[in-house]
Amino acid sequence: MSSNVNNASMTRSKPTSAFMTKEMLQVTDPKYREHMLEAGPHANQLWLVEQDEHTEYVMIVGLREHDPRIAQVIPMSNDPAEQTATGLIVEKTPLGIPMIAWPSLAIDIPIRLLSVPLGDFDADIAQFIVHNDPTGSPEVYKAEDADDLLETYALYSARMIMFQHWWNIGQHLPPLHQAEHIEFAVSEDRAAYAKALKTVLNMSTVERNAVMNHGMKLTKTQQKKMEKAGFPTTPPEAQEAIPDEYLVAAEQPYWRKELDGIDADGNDVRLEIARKAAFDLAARTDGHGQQAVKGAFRKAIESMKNTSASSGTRKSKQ
Amino acid sequence: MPRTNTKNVDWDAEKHPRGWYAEYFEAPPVTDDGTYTIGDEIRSNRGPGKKTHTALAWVCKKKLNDYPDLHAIVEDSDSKNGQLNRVDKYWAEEFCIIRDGKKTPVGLRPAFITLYLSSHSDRQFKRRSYVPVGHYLAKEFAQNTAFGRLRARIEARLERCLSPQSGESVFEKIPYEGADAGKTGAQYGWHVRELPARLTSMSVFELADAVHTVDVLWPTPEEVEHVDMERSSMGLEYDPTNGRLYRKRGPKYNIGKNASKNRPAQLDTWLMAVLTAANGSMPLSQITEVMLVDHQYLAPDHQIGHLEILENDEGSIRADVETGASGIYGQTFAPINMDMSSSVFDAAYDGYNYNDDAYTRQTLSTIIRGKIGSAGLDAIGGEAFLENSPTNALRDFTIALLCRLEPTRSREEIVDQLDRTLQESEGSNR
Repeated sequence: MSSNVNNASMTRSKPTSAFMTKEMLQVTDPKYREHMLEAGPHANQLWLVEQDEHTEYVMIVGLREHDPRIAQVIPMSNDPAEQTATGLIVEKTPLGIPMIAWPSLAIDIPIRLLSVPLGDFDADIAQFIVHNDPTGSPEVYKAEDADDLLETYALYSARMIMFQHWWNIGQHLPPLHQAEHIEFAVSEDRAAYAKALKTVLNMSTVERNAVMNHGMKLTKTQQKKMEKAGFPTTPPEAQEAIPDEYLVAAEQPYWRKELDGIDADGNDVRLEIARKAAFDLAARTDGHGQQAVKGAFRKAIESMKNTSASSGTRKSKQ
Repeated sequence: MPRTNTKNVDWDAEKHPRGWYAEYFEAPPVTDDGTYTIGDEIRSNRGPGKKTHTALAWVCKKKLNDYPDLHAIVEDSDSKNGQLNRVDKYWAEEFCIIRDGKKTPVGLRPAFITLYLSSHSDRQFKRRSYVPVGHYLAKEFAQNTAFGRLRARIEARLERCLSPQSGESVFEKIPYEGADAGKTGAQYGWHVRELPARLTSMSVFELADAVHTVDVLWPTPEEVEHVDMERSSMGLEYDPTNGRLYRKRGPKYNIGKNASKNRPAQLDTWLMAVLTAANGSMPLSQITEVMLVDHQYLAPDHQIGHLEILENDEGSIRADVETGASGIYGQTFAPINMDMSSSVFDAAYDGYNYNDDAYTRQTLSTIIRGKIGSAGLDAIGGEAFLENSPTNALRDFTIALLCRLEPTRSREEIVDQLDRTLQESEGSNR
């Protein structure tokens, strides 16, 4: 065994191969990174996934057709010592160093976890990886088990559990197509209530608008009358339907750096941002182009940052 | 009587967002200005430079407190309080690169590359470096110090020692109460199967006294020194064709006579005596320290009792210090901040859809459980590994395991037989 190793190392003489490669320099260029973040994730790309300081490499197989907030990914590693026979060694990668891929661990995770774009795989190499079949490829081949089986499978196992945890986060994203669901339930209640304000309380249009949309309270007598007629004392909450494009935009890794620090009192920061941006833009008349959406997101993030900073201190004082 | 001399201080949230007293009593908020000068340095250097090493040396300085044995590897350290010294810098540099058997640098450490790529700022780089640097030093401690190697040897003996009467293992590895397994890596102790599992109340010195009379043929200090010299000149064999590092088998000294027909190995007898006298369980590191009390020359750089200060509230040694031979057993870089017992995740784990293969999975799990035992299973993530691995991964692992355990049989033979077993189990269940 060891004599084989020596022979092999003598025949191939590129000892500096694992130092900083030119590919690595390329993908860490701040301009490149900014550009790739703006473009958003796409198939055959290498990314770093990060959550609470835990990072993993993935190759993106593709985005889900009906929900582009979810990507199918194949876990990868840049440490050859972690290989197991369940994986593939990929010689040619966007980082210019050999990496290990585990196509059998392919899984769907939310793109909000993607952190750093690291370049594109050659399309044919990506195909070999996706199909988990290196036959015919000079650059992809089957990995081997290490000497210490338990050590590498311990890492393998931990990695797998991490990815299932991430998969699980993807199962709890805000629902898409909200408008379709909301029309029926709550708006009908609200319509009925608004009608009752007219029929039971004889209110004018202006008054009705004030009660329904601007928080004007009913007097005690009015409340009693409404209760008698079988209505609550306050109008049913308006349920807002956030358009899909905002929900999807809020998930993009592009916003990640700024959103990571924001604490939205336990609420989903991305949902809050999408809601704020959507309502900000809905009120505008000067078009909803991409630049406008981006601007609205920026504004929403700024206001979230301020409120989360002040509410954070108040909480810590208690 | 109401107090009249108090001034009512109005708190202006705008002026003092962190509370009016924050300026007096709290450290100023550390802000991340987003600059990544370390990253710039690595880019322009095509590798780590002075800035990178300094940042990492601070982390090493902190972590090295746990491993005095690693201090001694670097000679003439002039440690001053609050300052970086040669030892810290040495380990910071070593973290960044890997070396081959001749100690020539052959590349950047994968963990370092990941650290560099994943960070966006200096502050983030420093914060994120704690985990990989910690893992690296833990592994160096476990594999490349005299104490670490001795400990790995004792662990192997404890695992392998079988009772001549029943054929069952004599010693048992048990997780400590309160140590939350899936979360931070379980903490383990060893005890004699029939004796209590609670942590022993005896100190390493008392135990050393108790086993003083056990007859063991200890190696001579000269033998040990010779082996250590040869070891320290050995590096890893690097294979550039696949980027893997191979560890060459180093020379070894004997501790005690081997087993013969009518008498167990002397080392086993000694371990039995220690754990019997302990009348309870002990972490592996402490068992090793018992040996060092009278034979310090086996690991001259180790300070006995040092690990005690790293104990946690439950009395067991912190998981990141107490590692087995691989440097990761029992602290499987556990998925961060994740409570595996949480009900949210219990039912939800079907990111890998494999309900169809229930019978196959069951059969494979039974084989794996039978072959590696509970300690082995714990090492690879416990039941969660069996429940969450994709079916073909389970199958591949089973094959790898069988090939290791039965080196005389060919891989084809093993695969054939496994496939037949799987077909049968499926047939009988349909």
